Amino acid sequence: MRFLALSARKDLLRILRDPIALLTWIALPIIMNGMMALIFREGDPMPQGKLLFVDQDQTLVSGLISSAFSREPLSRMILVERMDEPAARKRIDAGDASAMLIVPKGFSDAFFQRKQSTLTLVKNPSARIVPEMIQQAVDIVLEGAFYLQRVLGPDFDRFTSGPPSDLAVAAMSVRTNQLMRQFSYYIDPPLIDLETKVIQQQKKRAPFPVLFFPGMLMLALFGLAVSRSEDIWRERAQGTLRRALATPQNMASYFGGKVLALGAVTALIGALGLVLARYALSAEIHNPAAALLWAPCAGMSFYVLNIIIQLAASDPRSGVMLSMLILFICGMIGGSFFPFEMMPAWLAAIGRFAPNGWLVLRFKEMLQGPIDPVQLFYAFGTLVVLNGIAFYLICVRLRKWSVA
Amino acid sequence: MLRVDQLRKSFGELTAVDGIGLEANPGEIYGLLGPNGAGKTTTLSCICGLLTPTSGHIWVNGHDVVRDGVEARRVLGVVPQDLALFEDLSARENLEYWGGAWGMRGQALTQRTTEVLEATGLLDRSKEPVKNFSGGMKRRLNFGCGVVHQPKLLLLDEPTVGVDPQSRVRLLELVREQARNGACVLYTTHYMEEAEALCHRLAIVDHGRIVAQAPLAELRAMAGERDVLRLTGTFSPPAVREALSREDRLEVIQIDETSATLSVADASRRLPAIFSAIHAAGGEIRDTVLRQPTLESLFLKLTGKELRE
Ligand SMILES: Nc1ncnc2c1ncn2[C@@H]1O[C@H](COP(=O)(O)OP(=O)(O)OP(=O)(O)O)[C@@H](O)[C@H]1O
Ligand SMILES: [Mg+2]
Repeated sequence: MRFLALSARKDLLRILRDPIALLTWIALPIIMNGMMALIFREGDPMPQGKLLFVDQDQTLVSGLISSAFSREPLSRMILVERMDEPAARKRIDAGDASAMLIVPKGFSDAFFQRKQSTLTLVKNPSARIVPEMIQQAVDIVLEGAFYLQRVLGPDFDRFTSGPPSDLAVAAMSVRTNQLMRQFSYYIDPPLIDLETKVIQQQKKRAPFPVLFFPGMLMLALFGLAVSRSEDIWRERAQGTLRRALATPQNMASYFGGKVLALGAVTALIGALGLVLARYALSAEIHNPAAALLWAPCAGMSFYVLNIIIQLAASDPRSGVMLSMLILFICGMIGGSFFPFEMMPAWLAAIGRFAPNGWLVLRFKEMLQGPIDPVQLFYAFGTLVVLNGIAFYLICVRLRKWSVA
Repeated sequence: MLRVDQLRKSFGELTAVDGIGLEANPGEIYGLLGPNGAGKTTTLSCICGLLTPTSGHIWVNGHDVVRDGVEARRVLGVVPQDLALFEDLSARENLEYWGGAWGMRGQALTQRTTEVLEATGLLDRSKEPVKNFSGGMKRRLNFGCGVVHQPKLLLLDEPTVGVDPQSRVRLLELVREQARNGACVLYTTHYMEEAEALCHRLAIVDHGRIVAQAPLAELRAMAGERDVLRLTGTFSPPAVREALSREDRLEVIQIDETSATLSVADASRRLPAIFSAIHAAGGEIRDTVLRQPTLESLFLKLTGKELRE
């Protein structure tokens, strides 16, 4: 225990002796996201756009499509205006809307009969985000419709060939119910649900820096973890790992000290970030205690992850390259370079399973609430279990790795 | 204090240590002498638990290093051949950290650290990060880190390589002091004078085996019988071997086209006879070096190699 503390102190000293790396990884995400904010700034913190909806079909199906835009969170970002095609064309040509969506006549019939039919989406090239979002939303609705069509196709046929018997209706409702339960995961456009969950609580629109803050902080911690994990190569080259093995102490204390040292530094960064977010950006912090604890937990997890990467690599160069590559990919898809709210929905859906994506989303829940104790327990518990396993494996591997 | 029994360590095909056995007692400085690649470092690595022996046993202070490694390492101090220092920490921080790893703390640790800094001549630079140090200074600190906790068994792997003569004298004095205080020291070196000046007992190692193992005086006596004659020139090895085989109390240690090394009793008197025999065998001698019997000549005789090229 004393050696663990000694090792943590030693590594803390070593981290602080390299302030450039520390500052780089704090400054880089801030600068990067500051630039993003400048690029995407449209005066308003939330992208806002107009969708011209031309419904030539006037059926339940076309109604469903337009209703997708009246649900949160899209409804707050996109205003739907219904009109006829010539008027819509004039408006979009004049650049007075983000996009125009035409549902052609007979679309509903074609849908039920599983025939080819085409929706027309005209995007305004001068706007960037909103048309993308509209396209995503339409894609999702259509994908959902596709599965519905696949699954319930035979039953649809019965509808189109005259009124069904009572027995057929009953059988179908039983079947539908079963299928719905089975397929609900695929059929419910999951992405709208995902984003709804995150944003719904935001009563007022978050300003850009607040929107960026969780991803930014996680990126800083991730980057710092990458730069510190590189040090394990230095320790091997310097021979200190080997010397540690010749002491009566165990590798768990030695490596644990490193993890704790990074935990201390990331706790400090997290606390500073949260204070800044709270008082300089007036961000809401729903559960400060959890959020304060989450930063070092995330920092240590990133570190453990990157040590695994280093131990798997054949030399320092490839180890660091691999770590950086993963940092950038995860940063892209995991809500760090762009907040999830601004990402294409399909990407956000993948990104929430990226390590930093998962950490960012839990962090957001802690910031924006609500998150109940059970969810908190699962979030921290997941980290403890995964890192515990990783820690054990690393300690076993480090022994061999140090003398190789 | 230290007992090594039939130690073998293989790396795949290569057997680096092949049945080494030795025993060293408290207060004793035991020298391990051998050419490059003899297996000295590998032996030391097995003793301190870095490597697991392929077979054989090692006991440190009565504890088996494989089964009871933690207890064995409690009394161990290591000065590795390669440096093992935190470059971004200061000399004092390095010493205190490693001292702490062996359970030292508080005033005793601070005091001992100062003592070691003084002995290694680093006291005035003790606050500087080690990366600013010269190679020799790092070596001295590396040494200090191994002795800071006053181990009962001290493993030294060529600790004085690259250290200037004055510092070397001080380091050796520090080693002696450890031994006087009851530590058992296993000392690996390439410097014959060092071994002669320092060690009570010596083992000469080659190809992972001990070729001679005895107290220093005994080894000197073994070496004492014969001188070493080193010749350079042009030789026809088979012919020269043939010619010299007729000479009494003479042994060819090594011979090739341009050099020959002979072990000869009473060499100075017999030089003319040896020269004419070589001439008769078509050899031509350009240069002659005759060495009085030393540990070095014994080493040469036993291993056929110069200790230092
Ligand atoms: N980790 C390893 N993997 C493979 N071979 C090794 C390893 N360590 C040492 N060897 C081999 O074992 C043999 C003995 O090496 P060792 O380092 O013990 O020699 P040494 O006596 O310390 O030499 P030197 O005086 O040069 O330090 C050498 O042939 C070396 O190449
Ligand atoms: Mg060696």
